[in-house]
Amino acid sequence: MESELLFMSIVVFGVLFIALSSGIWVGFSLFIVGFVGMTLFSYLPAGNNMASSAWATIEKWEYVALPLFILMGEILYRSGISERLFKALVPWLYRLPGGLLLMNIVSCTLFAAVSGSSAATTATVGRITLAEFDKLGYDQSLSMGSLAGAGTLGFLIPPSLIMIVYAILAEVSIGKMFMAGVLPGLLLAGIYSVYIIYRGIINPEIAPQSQESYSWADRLLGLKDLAPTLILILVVLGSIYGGFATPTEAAALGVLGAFVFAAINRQLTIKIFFECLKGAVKTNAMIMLIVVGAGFLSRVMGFLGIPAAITLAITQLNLSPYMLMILLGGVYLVLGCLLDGFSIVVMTLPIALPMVTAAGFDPIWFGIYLILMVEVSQITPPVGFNLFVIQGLTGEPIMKIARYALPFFFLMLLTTAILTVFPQIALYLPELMVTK
Amino acid sequence: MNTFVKLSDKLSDFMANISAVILGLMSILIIVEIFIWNLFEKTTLIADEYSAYGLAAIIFMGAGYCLKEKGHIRITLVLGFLPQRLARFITFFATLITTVFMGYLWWYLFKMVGSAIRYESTSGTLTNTPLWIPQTIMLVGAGCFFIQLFATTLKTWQAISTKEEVV
Repeated sequence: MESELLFMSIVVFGVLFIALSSGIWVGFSLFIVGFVGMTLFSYLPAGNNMASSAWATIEKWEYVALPLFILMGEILYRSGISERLFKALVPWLYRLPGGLLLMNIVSCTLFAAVSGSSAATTATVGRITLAEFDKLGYDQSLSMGSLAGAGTLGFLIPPSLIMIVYAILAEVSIGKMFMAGVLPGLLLAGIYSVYIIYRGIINPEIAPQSQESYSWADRLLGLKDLAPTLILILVVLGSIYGGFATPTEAAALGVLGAFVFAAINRQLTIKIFFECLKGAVKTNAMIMLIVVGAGFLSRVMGFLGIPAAITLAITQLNLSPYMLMILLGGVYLVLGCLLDGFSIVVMTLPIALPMVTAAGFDPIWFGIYLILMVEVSQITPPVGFNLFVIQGLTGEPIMKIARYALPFFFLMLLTTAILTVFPQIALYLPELMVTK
Repeated sequence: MNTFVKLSDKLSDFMANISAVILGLMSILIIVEIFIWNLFEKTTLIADEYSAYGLAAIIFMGAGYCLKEKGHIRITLVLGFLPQRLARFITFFATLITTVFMGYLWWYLFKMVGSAIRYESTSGTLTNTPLWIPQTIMLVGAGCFFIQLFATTLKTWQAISTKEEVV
């Protein structure tokens, strides 16, 4: 029986490896592996199962939050609200050691709280900050590195597209998952900021002081440009935290809010709004194709008993919980170099989650751990989406940007270690909240 | 061959436009539900269910456009290490296999819709919506996605000699 399971696992993972490395789209690779597994190792009709699994996956109310949050991000991206956010923050930060490099961290933290994706956060903030830093003669390695690192907050700070997918697959509350990301997100942003300030103190040359000076009047006047973002954060996260709205409803309110602010800014024509809708349709299709494929593969693997067998094998190793997380962390680091975040979550979850919960970890906590690992994967070459975005903005080679991001890679690992030792950082807010 | 590719690109664009409208309507539906529930304690009865059908529709309807715009994720790491001509051959075969597989999936989606009609399956909610209606919309989207995949297979075949980046 055990050797049969081993054979099945080798075939399934072998086909997955071949399909992925031959360039078959990730969603289809997952479908094909599921099809091969079901056809070879069961008597069930693979075709019928595929169709019913696809329908069961895509017709879920909870997933509706996904295109809506993407749409909200698209409207903010195209309506100039993010540029105003930057201008409003400059007078507050320009005198600190590390100066405007902190802009990358603060803008990404705030933008992450209205955007669900790391790539969108990196692109939106980078589009504004990188050119500005170049003009001011800032240290290139820190300006790009901090952007690469801080951009990843898009996944950790809610709303987060990956969290929605994780929560549905792991069968935990999306709202609680969102809240679990808040404190770890702020912790990571804080650690990044301390690092930049420290670098700024030991070597002020990395961020030469700007010649301009700002008064308190400038600072206070700038607040009106911060208001749209802050109000949206309050509406979206506040309504979920207070139990007034489900994440899907909060996303719809976010779309309405972004629409209203963009209209007030006179940045929203019908043409631009339609482009936002079309952009959201495209990103949604990209994510959901992977989710649908993973839904079927997960069904097949569960049927074949592969996750249960792997969980049993790992349990028999009698690893301490910390050892297990270090081992898993190693696997995720390798996967992170090769795959994108969504693929990592959907492909590993059916196997990793039973293993981790059997070791006594909370599934919500594990979600945050996994998302931190996904964030790391965003800046590890050769496949790191934040690196791609920064390459698109600057034209610099991937390996150079990855080298710049290296300190932030270690800071993420440090945060993951802190979170593993103190799981309450993630679990405190979800335990307090009311859910609708 | 090129006419077919152009037509298929246009079809994917058209489906993405329809999806964009559906997404807009989904947003409006949910917002209306939130407001009438909080202001008048009334409900549309359909917001959850129909926005989920909307999602089911736009996934496949938007998938062809996403493919045309090179939006779907694939791993090109291994291909990058191979000689270019061989990599382009493998890309062609990978696209061909995907297209055949999508055709197979479409056939079973078609059979699923057939069963929904035959057994008069309904949503089991207050609206009792016959399931074949949203499923047919999904099926149409999946069909268009198949056509775009087929066109992409032709593009990858041509790309072997033209050396273009088509996926």
